[in-house]
Amino acid sequence: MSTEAKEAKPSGGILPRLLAAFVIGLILGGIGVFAVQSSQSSAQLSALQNKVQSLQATVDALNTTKVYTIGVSFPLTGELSDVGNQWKTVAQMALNDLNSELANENVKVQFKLVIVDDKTQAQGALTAVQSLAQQGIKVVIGPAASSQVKAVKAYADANKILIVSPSSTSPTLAIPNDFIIRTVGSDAVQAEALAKLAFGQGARNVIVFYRDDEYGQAFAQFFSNVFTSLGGKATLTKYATGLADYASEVAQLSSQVKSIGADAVVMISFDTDGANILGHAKDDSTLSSVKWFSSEGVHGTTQLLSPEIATFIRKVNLLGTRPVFKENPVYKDFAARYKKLTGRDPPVFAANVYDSIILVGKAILLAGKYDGEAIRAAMFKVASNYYGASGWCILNDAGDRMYQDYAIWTVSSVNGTYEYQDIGSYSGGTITWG
Amino acid sequence: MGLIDLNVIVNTIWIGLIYSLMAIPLTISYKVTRVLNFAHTSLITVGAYVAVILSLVYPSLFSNIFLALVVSFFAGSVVAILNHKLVYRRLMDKEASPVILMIASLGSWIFLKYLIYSIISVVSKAIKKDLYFAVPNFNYTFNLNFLGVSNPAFAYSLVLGLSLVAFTFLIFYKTSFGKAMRAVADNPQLAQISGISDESVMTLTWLLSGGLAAVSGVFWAMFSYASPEFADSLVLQVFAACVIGGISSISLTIFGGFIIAGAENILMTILYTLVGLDLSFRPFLSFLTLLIVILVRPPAGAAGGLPYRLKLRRRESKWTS
Amino acid sequence: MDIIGFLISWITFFSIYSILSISLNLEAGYTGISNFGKAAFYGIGAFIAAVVSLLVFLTLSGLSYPLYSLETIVAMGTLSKQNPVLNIIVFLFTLTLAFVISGVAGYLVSYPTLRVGPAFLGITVLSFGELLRIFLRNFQPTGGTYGLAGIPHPFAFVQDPTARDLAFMLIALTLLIAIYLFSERLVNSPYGRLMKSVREDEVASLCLGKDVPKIKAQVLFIGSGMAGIAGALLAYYMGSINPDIFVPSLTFEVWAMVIFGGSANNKGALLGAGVITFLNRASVVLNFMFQNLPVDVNYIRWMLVGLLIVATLLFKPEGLIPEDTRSSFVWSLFGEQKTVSFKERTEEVRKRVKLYVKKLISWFMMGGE
Repeated sequence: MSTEAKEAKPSGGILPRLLAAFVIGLILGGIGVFAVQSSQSSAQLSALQNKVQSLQATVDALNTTKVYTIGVSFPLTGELSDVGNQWKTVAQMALNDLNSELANENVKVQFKLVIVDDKTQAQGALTAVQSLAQQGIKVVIGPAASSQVKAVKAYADANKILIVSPSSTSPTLAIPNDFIIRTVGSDAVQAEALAKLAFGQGARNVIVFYRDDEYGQAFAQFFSNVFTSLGGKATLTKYATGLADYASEVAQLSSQVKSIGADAVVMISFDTDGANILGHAKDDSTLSSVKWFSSEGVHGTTQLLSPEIATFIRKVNLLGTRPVFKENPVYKDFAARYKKLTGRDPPVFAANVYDSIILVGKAILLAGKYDGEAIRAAMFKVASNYYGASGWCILNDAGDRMYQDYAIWTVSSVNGTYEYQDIGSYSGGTITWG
Repeated sequence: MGLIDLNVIVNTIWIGLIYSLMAIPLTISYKVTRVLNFAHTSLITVGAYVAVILSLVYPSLFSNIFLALVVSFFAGSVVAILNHKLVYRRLMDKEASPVILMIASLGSWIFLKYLIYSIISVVSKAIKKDLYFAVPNFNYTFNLNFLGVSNPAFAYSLVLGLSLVAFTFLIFYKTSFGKAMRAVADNPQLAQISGISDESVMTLTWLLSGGLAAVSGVFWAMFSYASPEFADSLVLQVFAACVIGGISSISLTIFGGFIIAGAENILMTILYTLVGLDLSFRPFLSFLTLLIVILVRPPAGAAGGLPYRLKLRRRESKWTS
Repeated sequence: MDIIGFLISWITFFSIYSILSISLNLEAGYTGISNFGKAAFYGIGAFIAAVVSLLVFLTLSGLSYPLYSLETIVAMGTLSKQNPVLNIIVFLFTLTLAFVISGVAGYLVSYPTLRVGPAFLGITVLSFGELLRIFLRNFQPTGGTYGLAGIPHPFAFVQDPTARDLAFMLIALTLLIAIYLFSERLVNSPYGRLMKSVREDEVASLCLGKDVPKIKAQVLFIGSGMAGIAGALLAYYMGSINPDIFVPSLTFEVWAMVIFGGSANNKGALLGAGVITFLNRASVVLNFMFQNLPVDVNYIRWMLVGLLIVATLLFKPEGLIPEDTRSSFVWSLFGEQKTVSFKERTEEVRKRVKLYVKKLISWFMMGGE
């Protein structure tokens, strides 16, 4: 080509050459502009395509259901296995309620529970929480006992795992700014209620027969303080926990009642030990002739509804206190459904277990992400306006339940069968009957 | 002793009898088979629950205590024999040491314990009753007035329990099978040479031991209640009773059972009323009693004595019954 | 699945339980002392560590709250992060103290057990242990049933929790290795042969002039001291303890680890502890896989542990690793008086290490076969 250009001399003048160059230039320019424009538009097109894709992904995400897992550490074996297994049923009820509520409102979130047995042991609880956390769980309902909560506290605080205990009542865990939330309140007010109840019923010289653990010790101490300030006399007698039977202790209680001339026994117990104690007390003539008062531990057990123990309860007019808000339709519905499902009344702290799960679910929703710190912050907010089976769940600064009302319960004969009945309530410092 | 109530005495007798009934099968099985059976508590629990569940589900048939006891007995025997055939026999054939057998029984215990939990949870849901605190539904038709205490469960337990103890003594000392058991316990090789098949003796020993343990569980459920954990909470007291008997003498084991029950009830009362010792020390007293007994008069039964107590040894070496 | 977290927490517990297993192995496996009170010495170590560390921190700050109270727990929250040097000094001091006091307790316990004979030694030590535990439950100054909490972690000043746990794990592992080497050295020495002679035939040993009671007392001292160290480690790791942790069923668990892994064999003790602690933790994946079985999956998990013990013993009645009568590799290197140069010895070490690494790699390659 270059040789031709060298040899051929252009014919005509410069003008046709210039014109040719101009036209070629125009054509080239046109092609260039077209290319640029089309690449721009294809870029726009691909940009548009990308945008459409991401929008589609968002829509898909909004349409798929997100599943969050809540960990649970319950005593399914060991000393508290009776109540732990019942809580398992309560937890599953709560989960179903939560999930169906979300499904009904077309919220694309569902929850799952993973329940691990901690054997009612401190080390078992730590292993359970660690194992759950190592599988990615960020919030755990449980453990049941205060000693177990103490064992998991260091790990939970360090690794930002939220622990929500429905039943730990030790005053030594009321610590702010940690990752322990307790949906059960201090027993100080309940002890006050029980003391006023006992005093109001005419008891002046009582024996407080209590469990030797943090729950029992705290309760007995609170009770004793209030009762003595009212003018009565309280003798504290503790019994060891975890034993197979308490006939021996009941015999000692009987002789103590005789020796100090007590007019009432105040029993601070859990479910199985309390039922066992009442079962032996009913065979004792001394103990059948004094008044009896009880904490919430035995409430709900089927043993107290058995004819032998129920007659004893009626004979001594056993009155107890238990944490429940008066005329709480949420609780009534929950209790009725539980009874329909299992054939018996909900056990102690069942309402707290139920509410813990609902609260955690709502907190995760509010937080929007599955992160321990965010869920904890959200829990305080959600709890502050949640009225559940256990009533108002507002939490104080230490992450413990702030408000609680109490009911006065007993066992009465209704149409030939024995049933638990709430015959009074305690709120704002006063007892109201009926 | 005006400070000791009638209740305390009744409790001592009742609990002492139950501890003895729980401890005797452990002693027998150890003597004959040389296995320290950790799964013993599982046998007790099985017995208790078989009686309880049957009496709740088929009250027409099993509110009769005798029938329930018989079925419990065989339930315990079956579990004990299965445990033996599947675990102990095979290990013994491989010449495993007693320590290995003991740990294998620990494995059986763990397995059986959670098997019982599983079964209870399923049955409890099915019959809609709480089985974690279960009392048998027995129909007590007669009642004894014992020292002014009128409690049919106690009456039945006393009569039946003492009969069982007598029955055990009868088997052990008056029957040829009992003789064979004692022979195998004393010297297995010599027994084999004399024509006693040690496998059939062992199987029948587990039958007796498992059955007695199961029945003792039923008595406990009548006195207190059945739970998946009750036998494990009691095992140390039961073993203490065995140890006081040197794990060899049945009568000393019974004595041990009553001593431990006495410590928990009578000694507790004395210390409580005189010294104001907290009731929460009750388990402390069982162990204290055990230690005092075996330190003051060390048992030198089948487990053998010490070289340093050669004096005691010379007096020993036959069945102290 | 947080593998690092799992490994760190598992290895820490593995170290603690291995120390317990090795100590029990020395007593029961090599010397024939059926120590059924292991949990008590474990507990003594833990309580010494807790009580002394809390007391030191509180008194140095001029506070005098009861050890179990809320005020103590809250105060320890800040105090434990202020002075790293203090944390570490207290940690080391209480470790040594735990060793000494638990050891002395074990030594003292050997006296009454002499009277009852080898067969009842187990129940005697167990009874002493339970007496101590029930007493602690009722003794309010050291917490009673409240237990003690707020125990100052030696690395509390480290901000990152994983780093803190990793550091603690390394300390525990180091202690384990030291105890393992010591035990190996002990059992392959003349003293080790003394221990085995007591196990095999006490009377013959006595007749040959060996002071059997003294040997038992010494072995109980060593074993209980080791258990005390393990207890102190537990107290610092969990941050809170109470008497109901140290129950006889814990002793039974350690026994299972020793026998299952193979008694009279330190490697067996490690293996037993490793397998059982691993199984307890790893089986939680079953909880994630099965949520709605008719029988609770947790019951199945625990049943499997029992089955594993029985099945393994049926298959290998001496435990996984039977007693090894040959001297160990460590002993052959550093124990015997060899006229071998240092260079040759390090050659030997290098060869052995290479061999093990090769074995490990080939095992790994074959998919863990």
